[in-house]
Amino acid sequence: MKLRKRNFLKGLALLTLNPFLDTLGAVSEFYPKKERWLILSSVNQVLLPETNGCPGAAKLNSTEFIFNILSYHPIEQEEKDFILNGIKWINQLSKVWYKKSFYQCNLIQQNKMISHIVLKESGKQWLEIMLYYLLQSVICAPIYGGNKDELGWKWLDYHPGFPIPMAKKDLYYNATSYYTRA
Amino acid sequence: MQQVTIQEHKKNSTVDVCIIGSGAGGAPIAYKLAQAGFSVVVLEKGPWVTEKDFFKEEVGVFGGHKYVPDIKDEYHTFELRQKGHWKKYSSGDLNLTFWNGNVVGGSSNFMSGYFHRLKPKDFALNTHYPQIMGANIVDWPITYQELEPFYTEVDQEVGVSGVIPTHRFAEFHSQPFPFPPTIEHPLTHWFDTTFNSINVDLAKTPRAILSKATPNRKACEYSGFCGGYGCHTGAKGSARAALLDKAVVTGHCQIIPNSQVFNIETNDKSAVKIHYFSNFNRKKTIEARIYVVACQAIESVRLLLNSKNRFFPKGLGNDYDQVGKNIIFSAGGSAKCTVLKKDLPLLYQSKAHVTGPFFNRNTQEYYEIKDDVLLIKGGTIDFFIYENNVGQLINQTKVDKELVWGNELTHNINDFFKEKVTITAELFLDWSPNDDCFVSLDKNKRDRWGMPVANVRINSVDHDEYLAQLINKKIQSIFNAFKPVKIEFSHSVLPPTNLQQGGCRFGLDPKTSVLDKNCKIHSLNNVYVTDGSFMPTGGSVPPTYTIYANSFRVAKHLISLLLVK
Repeated sequence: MKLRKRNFLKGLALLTLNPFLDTLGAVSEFYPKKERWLILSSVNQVLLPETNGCPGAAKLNSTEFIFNILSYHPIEQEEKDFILNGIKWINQLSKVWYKKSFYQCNLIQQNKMISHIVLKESGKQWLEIMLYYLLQSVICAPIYGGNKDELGWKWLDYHPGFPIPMAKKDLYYNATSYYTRA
Repeated sequence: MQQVTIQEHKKNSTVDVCIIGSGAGGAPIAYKLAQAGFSVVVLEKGPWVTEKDFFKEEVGVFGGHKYVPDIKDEYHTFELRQKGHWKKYSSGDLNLTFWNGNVVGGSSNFMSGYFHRLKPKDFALNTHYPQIMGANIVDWPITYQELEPFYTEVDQEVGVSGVIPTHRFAEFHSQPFPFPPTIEHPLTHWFDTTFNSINVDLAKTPRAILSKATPNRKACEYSGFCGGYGCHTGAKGSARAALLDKAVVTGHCQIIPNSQVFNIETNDKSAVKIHYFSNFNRKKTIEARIYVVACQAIESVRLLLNSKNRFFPKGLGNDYDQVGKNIIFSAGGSAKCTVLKKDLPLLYQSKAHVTGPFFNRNTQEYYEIKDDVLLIKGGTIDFFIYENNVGQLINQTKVDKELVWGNELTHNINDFFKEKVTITAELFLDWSPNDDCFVSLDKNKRDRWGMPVANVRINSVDHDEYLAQLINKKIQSIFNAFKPVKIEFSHSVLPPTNLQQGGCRFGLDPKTSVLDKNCKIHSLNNVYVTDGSFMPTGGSVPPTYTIYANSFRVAKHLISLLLVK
């Protein structure tokens, strides 16, 4: 239920401890912000790999799509913070388990971590949100950053409606200014 | 009477009619009055978007952010019964909003345009059907025969495409629809054949979408993703494209977007001016001879209650505590039937996911049903096939409520998108008005202008739930004929927030209704309410067609009134 999710996010936004870890001790590992997108990209590729005809998150440019969501989409700040915190938390888990960043781990290790956090309520919520946006990147209009070269549409034989937004001025973050200008 | 143009009005400062809200309830009045030469001002809280602003892009529209206010600034509170107590939430808690498209033309910009008329018996449920325990059902003060000419006017002016239904519950139409049906999805032929085999009446759903161009509007281009999206051609019969654009070119109608009306000032008999916030929160006023409130049911109630003054201390029209009472919705839940593509006749297998043409099928076979020995009111079932969309992609992340990803996820997506077809049935039943379903003002919460927000208490009576289950059994038996691999039913205690009616019932007795037969507030000489608020019962169909028709009816009344004055 969305009520639960919202309250849950509010709570998580205030957390100083890592809910993905089993121990209560705060992790003091340095969080390399510049690696954020490498970590996110690796998570995306685990969640949406290049299998079964799917071009995979890397070819779809899903990370750029999520970057745009975090930068421009009028979603709640708590949700943005939660997405970014989740990236930090899973990387800290990786540092504890494998002594290296998530993106430096192999696929088996990465999958083990995802399988671990999905058992925790916080981890499951984070993965749900990641998948929510990741799957939007599959069939979004390419101007949003995902669905590069219309690969998502080709995979699913998907026929978008028309017209689709072709220029940045058409995008959602400009449209929302309708209500902020008044 | 000397009629004035908008330019002259600006000098005189008084217009003939001021309409608050530019959707299906307000636009017919703006159009007809302006066409008749009266000066009209329409105030719309949202922006004035047009065809060039609409795109078929799911990212902008999915999640509903684009054409509604931010619920942090403008929201509703509501109460749901939980374990015998009323528990209060705000829009933010459940991400639930009663905003449905706050732009010029209102939510009609985003409707699917399923245009079913009410039937004669819908105007007199109390007379024709057994009483329902806990429900406040009353007959309408007008009949179908009185409204029929205005439904026909909607057909012409808004533009309805289709063929008149001929089944046993079909209502009388004085004229055929002016436009032929829209192009149909290839699977409708398979659908028709299957219905025929089980001997259930299937009808073509009339749509407020132009199948042929008119001098002012283009025909539908079958661009896909219709319901929930703005129309880039103007073929959809939104209040803006179909009526307001024509009203403006008369030179007698001015539309003022981004204007939030917060008060209707009155003396003891009449409204004298309205107060609104314009761009940059500047307070302004407009004086008119007649005021029409059409902000969608919940917001209209809020405005009347927020306009309380020393003459009307409980709010306008609320002398007998009727404002906000008996709010209703069109609801009943939905069902989905999943069929394997390989089980379709060979001819249709490659055409299952065609985007653009409309499915346009409904059954009113169960508009009345026998429950033991009693004949009770049933409803309408609309059928359609969704275009594949983001929502369906996201649904593939869950299997038995467990989250899946990776190889399993891509396999599920392939399976759903490439191997299956899902037929959706949307059920429209009467929402029985009752004492625990009403709108009031929240004493503690205010919007960004400092006005108390509307609180909606939501309750349905047991009969409604029972009826939904009864009809769902009928749907199940229909769906079984399609050899499905899966049938799912979905029913929520929360109403569809876009199909609001009631709250300012019209009726003959001022003690039990807010509006008179012409939708004028009983206790005020010059204030009318013409959105779905006037409806004592909703009929078991989406209400937009009826709201349009009633608004044309009130427009005729206002013209005759102003001409006499």
